[in-house]
Amino acid sequence: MTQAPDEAQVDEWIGRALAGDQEAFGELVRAKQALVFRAAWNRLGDAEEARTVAQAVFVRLWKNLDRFDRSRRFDTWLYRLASNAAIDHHRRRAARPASTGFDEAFESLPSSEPGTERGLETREVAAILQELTGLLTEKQREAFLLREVEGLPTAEVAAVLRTTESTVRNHVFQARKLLREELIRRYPEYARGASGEGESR
Amino acid sequence: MTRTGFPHLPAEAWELYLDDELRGASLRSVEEHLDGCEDCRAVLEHRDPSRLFRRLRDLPVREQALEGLWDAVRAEIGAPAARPAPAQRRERLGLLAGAATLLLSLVLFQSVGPGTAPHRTALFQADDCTRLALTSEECRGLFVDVRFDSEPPLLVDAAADLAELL
Repeated sequence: MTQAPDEAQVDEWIGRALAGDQEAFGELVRAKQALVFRAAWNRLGDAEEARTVAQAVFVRLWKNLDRFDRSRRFDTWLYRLASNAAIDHHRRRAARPASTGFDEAFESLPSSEPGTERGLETREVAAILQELTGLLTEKQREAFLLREVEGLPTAEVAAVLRTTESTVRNHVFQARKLLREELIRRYPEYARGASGEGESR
Repeated sequence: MTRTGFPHLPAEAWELYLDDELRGASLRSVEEHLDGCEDCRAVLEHRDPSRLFRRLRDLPVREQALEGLWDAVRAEIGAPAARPAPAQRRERLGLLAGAATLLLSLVLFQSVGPGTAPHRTALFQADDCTRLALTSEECRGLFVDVRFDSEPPLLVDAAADLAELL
């Protein structure tokens, strides 16, 4: 995996790309393509569609790069482009598919749950994410994905979604509550946890 | 074992922790326990969707999934001189806004005019240049009111959806 470039390097590529340097833009694409692809996959659950969206995002980025305020964090803007493009794509398709193409798209990681009898594989976690986030409202889903899955600070999530931090916190809280209930209801065998004892509540 | 399935600490403390409602010393107490207790950490992941899905963060994307992406982008954005300068972009957007006004006027005329001609006709009455302009990427985010026959009006993104409707 390539080392993430620092912000100064990214800014240099942006400056050169704004002057028409496609090679610099290519460096920017290569540095950020995994971020955009992963963001699209988290919202679509389909590797082929995620790639299509990623391609569209970078084409749009090239055309609109001059709109980027270089005093702001580039990734925040990129997340907004990726998120909007994936939402557009999602709205136009007939149905939300089950998780597709995960193994082709991502490196497999071993279950990281020491002591558990029923550890989920990463691909299973990804499939559960697709299933359960489909139950959330669009705003709850975006806030949850950006904050809890993609790991953006609350302030940055608010910037991506053009809302306030308290609204983000509220959406994330509601999303977590619903997801927790559904996780236990739909996957009781997993929710039993390390002990193997049943849910007794 | 507590009634929530966590090996240690009171069930109420876990409930509040999962609801993000613990503060101060209570929160620190649970966090310190989690730091040192592998069993509770493992069970917590089963109950907390945030912890569970955090496993997908920074998941390495396979090289083959991204192979050729830049080439595809480059092929689409064209020659180096193809990226329009900001001034040219503003000028073009002004023309597109004019084209959008024209189309919207046609739709409005059809919607209030006499007879029962399908509103779809209004879209086709717009000349090719107008349709081409409206469905270009530059018009993404520009919403156009489209009406078909007696169906309710649709507000569609010009670049994203209008091409499919046409």
